[in-house]
Amino acid sequence: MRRPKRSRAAEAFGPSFWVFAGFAGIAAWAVWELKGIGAVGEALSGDLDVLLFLLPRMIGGMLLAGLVQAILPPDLVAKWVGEDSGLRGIFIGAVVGMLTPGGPMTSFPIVVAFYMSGADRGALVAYLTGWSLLGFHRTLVWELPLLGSEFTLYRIAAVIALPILAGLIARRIPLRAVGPGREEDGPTAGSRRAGGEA
Amino acid sequence: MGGIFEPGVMIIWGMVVVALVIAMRQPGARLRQGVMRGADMFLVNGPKIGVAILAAGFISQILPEDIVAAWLGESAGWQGILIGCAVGPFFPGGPLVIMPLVLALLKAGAGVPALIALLTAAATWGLHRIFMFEIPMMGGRFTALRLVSSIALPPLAGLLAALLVQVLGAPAPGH
Repeated sequence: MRRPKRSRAAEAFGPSFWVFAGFAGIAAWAVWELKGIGAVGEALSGDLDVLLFLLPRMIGGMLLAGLVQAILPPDLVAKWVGEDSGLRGIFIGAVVGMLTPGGPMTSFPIVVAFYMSGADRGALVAYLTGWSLLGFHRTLVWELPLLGSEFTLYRIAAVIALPILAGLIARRIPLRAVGPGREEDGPTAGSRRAGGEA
Repeated sequence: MGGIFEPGVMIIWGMVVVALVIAMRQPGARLRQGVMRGADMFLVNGPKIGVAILAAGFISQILPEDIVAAWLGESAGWQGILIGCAVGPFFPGGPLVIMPLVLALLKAGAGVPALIALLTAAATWGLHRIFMFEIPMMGGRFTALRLVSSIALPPLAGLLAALLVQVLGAPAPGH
């Protein structure tokens, strides 16, 4: 989350920008070769339509994502999943996962923290599944603008119950391995290093 | 096409207003922080999204529509869902890579159930994330537990999406 002002332009026009630009260039060339200049123009005007459609959604979505991040204090989040178990723990895990912004650099350190503080494994699985399937941040910033609101609503409806299902299954699996700090196989030094990055 | 007063836009901005009011009532500079983060996200991601749309537009022009439709289209049924499940885990990287590719497939005639299965598989079985983050940070056993718990989710999501499409019809093409 630290983002010094100077590097913003560097981040915006970083490697992924150029990779996409490269893909766009190669694909444009291929379209021209295969289908002629008319198809290139067709694709461009389609892109313009998409962009005009997106802008009001994208700006609103990102503003919303930023505000939710500012409103939700992280300590409160840790308390919710850390202490509880039972169906409520799974449910809370799933919801908190959905509310966790950012990529794996944010979510995995949180999971490690939950794990260390004794969270139930069903809640942990529900958390990770909720975050990866329904993370509001990703949905607002990427899915809604690119794939449209109807597709997004269909997908949300199709997967909304799955984090809880995964949590319930995780609890039934007879694998004794998951106990905070007891197993060699638990969170490792690497996770503590990466934890500082969140 | 693209009006400002469509339901989708209204819902998002309605939520923005609610969040703004909540942030205003909280102590400290929450409102400022939130708006700044939002603006930051827009500045950092906007250009990438722009070129991603460009790339998706061109790629969908050259994707063989008959093959995409036959393999992943609504009519492909179970087969499309299974292909989505099989392909999803191999998609590298985060939403930055996946969303534009899904958009290109959607434009080239892939069906919603197959794409939802694909997105679910990428989210729950994504190999890239498993090897880069989950195993190093949570250990192999926890990862195995989570994978076993979510083994059925992608086909289930595809199936539920197929039911939705059958009951409600295919979602209106966003663009």
